[in-house]
Amino acid sequence: MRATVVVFPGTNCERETAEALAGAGFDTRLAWHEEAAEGADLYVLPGGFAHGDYLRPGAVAARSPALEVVRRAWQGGAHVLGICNGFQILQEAGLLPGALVANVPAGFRSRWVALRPRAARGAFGRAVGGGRLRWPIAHGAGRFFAPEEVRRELWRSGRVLATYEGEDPNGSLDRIAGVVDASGRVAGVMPHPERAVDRRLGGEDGRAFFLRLREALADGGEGDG
Amino acid sequence: MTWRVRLAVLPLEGMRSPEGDTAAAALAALGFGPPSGMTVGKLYEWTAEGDDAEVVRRQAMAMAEALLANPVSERAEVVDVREVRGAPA
Repeated sequence: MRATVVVFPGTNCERETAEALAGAGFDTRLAWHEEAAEGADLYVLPGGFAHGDYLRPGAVAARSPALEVVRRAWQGGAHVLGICNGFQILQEAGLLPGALVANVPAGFRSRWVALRPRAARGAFGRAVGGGRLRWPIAHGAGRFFAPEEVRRELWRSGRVLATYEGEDPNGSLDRIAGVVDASGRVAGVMPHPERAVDRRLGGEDGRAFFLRLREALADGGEGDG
Repeated sequence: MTWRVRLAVLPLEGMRSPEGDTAAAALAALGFGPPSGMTVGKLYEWTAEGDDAEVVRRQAMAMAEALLANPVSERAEVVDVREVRGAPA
């Protein structure tokens, strides 16, 4: 399974994301955004502040040629994962629904959160598994926002990947922490699974996520049902 | 003709604006009867060429749709389009 981690100016989580993928058995490469090419099974847009978050988080990266490469690869059957800023980029590119807006109450939050998987469809639903997860968050604009009819459709069609449990970290509507698209092959998560891959980092629930993701992709990208 | 354009991008009506809440609370602490419904956005200002103000206005809204505003969470409005007199043709 080949994974490409796309790096924009201002991305800052690419190394730990690549390490986490490699640790889970992906044949992983980092690709500077101008050099991203088709041919991978999985594209990961990591966290950070692509293009300085100018205009809005993800707005400039979403309109760059690299996203056209990612879009074509997805159309050809590849899977795409956005983590934190990568989630914002995928929404701005129209590949995922909703927007991630300023936290309520205001402020940057950097801490561990509890997540409840919501039995989403496809490989990403299988990857988050069925049990409670602990992953860290680090964001100032992570409040999931979408009109009520959009959220209703996400719930109805099994596209909510996970919700926050316990103390509300950012005011996300319906407490949504991650979603998948209608194809089931594009996912976005606000918390950072790549920062939860070793007990020395404080937890390893993220390692299981990447391992199950590789297994699911090796099985043809299907979920459990 | 040369025009100076100002375009405001604000959170959608009714959306929580944590930055606005913070500013309102700080103003209240300074003794201003607390402003209600304060929201914070961005103002873009630039110079454009065009035959009339309406053409320039439409182009500004097209720029908002293409990049400057995210319709999921924001609204854009042209604040004003002022002719710049004496500008080189």
